[in-house]
Amino acid sequence: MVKEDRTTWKSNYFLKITQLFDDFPKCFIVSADNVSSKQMQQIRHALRGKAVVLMGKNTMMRKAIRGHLDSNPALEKLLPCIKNNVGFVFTRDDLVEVRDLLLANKVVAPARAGAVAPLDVKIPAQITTLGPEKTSFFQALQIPTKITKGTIEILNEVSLIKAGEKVGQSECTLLNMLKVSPFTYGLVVEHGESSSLSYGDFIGYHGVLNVAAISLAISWPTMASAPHLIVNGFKRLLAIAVQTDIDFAEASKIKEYLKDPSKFVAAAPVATQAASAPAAAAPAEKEEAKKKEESEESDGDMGFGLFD
Amino acid sequence: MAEAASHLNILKDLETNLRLVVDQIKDGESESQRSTFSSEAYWNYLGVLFKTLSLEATKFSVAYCESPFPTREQCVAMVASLEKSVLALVSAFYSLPKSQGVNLRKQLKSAVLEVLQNIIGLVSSLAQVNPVASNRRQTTGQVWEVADNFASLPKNNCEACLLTLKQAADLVKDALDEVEEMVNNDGQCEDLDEILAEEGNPRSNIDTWSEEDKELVGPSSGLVKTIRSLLKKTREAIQGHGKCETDEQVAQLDDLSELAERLSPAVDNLLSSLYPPIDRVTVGNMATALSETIENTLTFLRNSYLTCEQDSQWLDFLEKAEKHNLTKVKALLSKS
Repeated sequence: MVKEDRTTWKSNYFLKITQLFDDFPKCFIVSADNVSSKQMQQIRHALRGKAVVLMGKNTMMRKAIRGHLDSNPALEKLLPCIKNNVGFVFTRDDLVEVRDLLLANKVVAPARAGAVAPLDVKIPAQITTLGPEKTSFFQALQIPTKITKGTIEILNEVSLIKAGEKVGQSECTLLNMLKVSPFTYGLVVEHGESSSLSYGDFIGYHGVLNVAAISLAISWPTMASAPHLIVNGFKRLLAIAVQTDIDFAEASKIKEYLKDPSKFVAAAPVATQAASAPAAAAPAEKEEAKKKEESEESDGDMGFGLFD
Repeated sequence: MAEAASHLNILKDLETNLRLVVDQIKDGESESQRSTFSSEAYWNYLGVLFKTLSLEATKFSVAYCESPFPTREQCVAMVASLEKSVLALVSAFYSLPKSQGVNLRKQLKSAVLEVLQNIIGLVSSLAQVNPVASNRRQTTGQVWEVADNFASLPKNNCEACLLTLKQAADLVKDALDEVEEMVNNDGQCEDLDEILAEEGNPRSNIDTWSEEDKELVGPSSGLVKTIRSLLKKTREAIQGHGKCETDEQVAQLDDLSELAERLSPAVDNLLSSLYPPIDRVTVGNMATALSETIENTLTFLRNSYLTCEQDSQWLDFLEKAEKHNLTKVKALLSKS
């Protein structure tokens, strides 16, 4: 009998997923890396009444969605996003508001060796509470120190970990000794989906591009989006100015150029030269990226584990 | 007041018209068969159209960012200009000949629809009695973004097919990662409980794999690994031999894309049937179905222009791997 119950349970799961897609017009796709089940419980609790969190096995979620495509074809574009450690946050409310709730539910976590750092970690110059016997840790990381009143003093600000790099054992030990918990973990929004309208990236964690896109979309300036905001705005202002009689300092230069391009001939070679340098660098980067992709893929090369 | 109301009407009409266009594209079929088709000119032109629509969106957004809003005449002119650009895009989409490939067309269609739907989003955010500034900015940003995506669109059927294969390969890789996790957790799937327990349903009794169940995971993941290698080799074959010069070549790429699209669903079906409690008949059926999709793809590749004699080595190898793993699954199933 137990087996039967469990089988019903399994089919309920598929029903539940499709029901959520029918009931809610909007959802986020979130990445749940490093989120403990206790934290997940807190998040569910905080979102109660506003949003529902669905975490599941990707194979089953994809299967459920495929089975539901007939009644909701718009879900098809979600399929490629269901990979890695993702889940859904369904809501009827404002996406921005729910995102803020998700951000509010991040927790501070101590550094773990081997985890990829989501941000740069710097240690300011300070007098620590550590005794002289710990000096070797600082030496191992080549951090200049001196002993002040029987405790270790860090002389300069130290850039300990760079974003995207793996946290090493020594760095981890040092941070824990200093009782610094540099990272916060929580559900990170990857995509926003609104089945009634259309699909648009809201926030991205894995790529600066997405971060820029979402900040542009919700007019929330970030380091990533600010240059785009300014350049986009400026380009558009220029475009308007060129077509109308409106004038401002930068636009007058462009207008002048359009009237008489020959005036600017002398300036052209300099500009071309400057432009060609990054252009030359680009293929090299591309090549490197390609190589990386190949090496990643070769792990699962032919013949490896296909027979047993 | 009357002025504001007429604004709303103009924008609402625009929204309705755009929705009609979207519906038409969704159901519509390409009619035109142009005798001369210049791929380069076509995609350049289309790129300009995407950019134009992005600028049109900006124009609306800027015009409505603060009062005084445009006059009725200005609004009519802006709507006319936007409609002109939308029509140009739609007719350009229809002028992509079928002979360029069904898959390419499908992907262009979804890009065009995405732009139009986002423009509808922008227009409907403006067509409110009290428009919300953040909605306007958000929807404008979305139009910019989808219009910018044009650069990454496939421009011929080879690229379209490679994209389909890449997406399939990503999902298959994800499924393989899940198998690993499945083995580590002994098949337990807590998520099932969490989601239903939320609603006050009692937790179910926990089922586990029997020793026989566990044995099924090895050869099943062998089948999935075969698909991973198949997708990798197929992409290499297209990169090496893929061409879109004749109708036949384009059609073969379409057939291949269609076959590739069936691989990830078949993988997911098999793997989700492996969570306890295992229904052995279902596992058998899913493994057989998966093997069939592998076999069909291999047979197709063998007979297509995408492979030559040197390729028969890996084709044979993958066929053997597929047969070996299927036989093993069947043997294990018949044992109990």
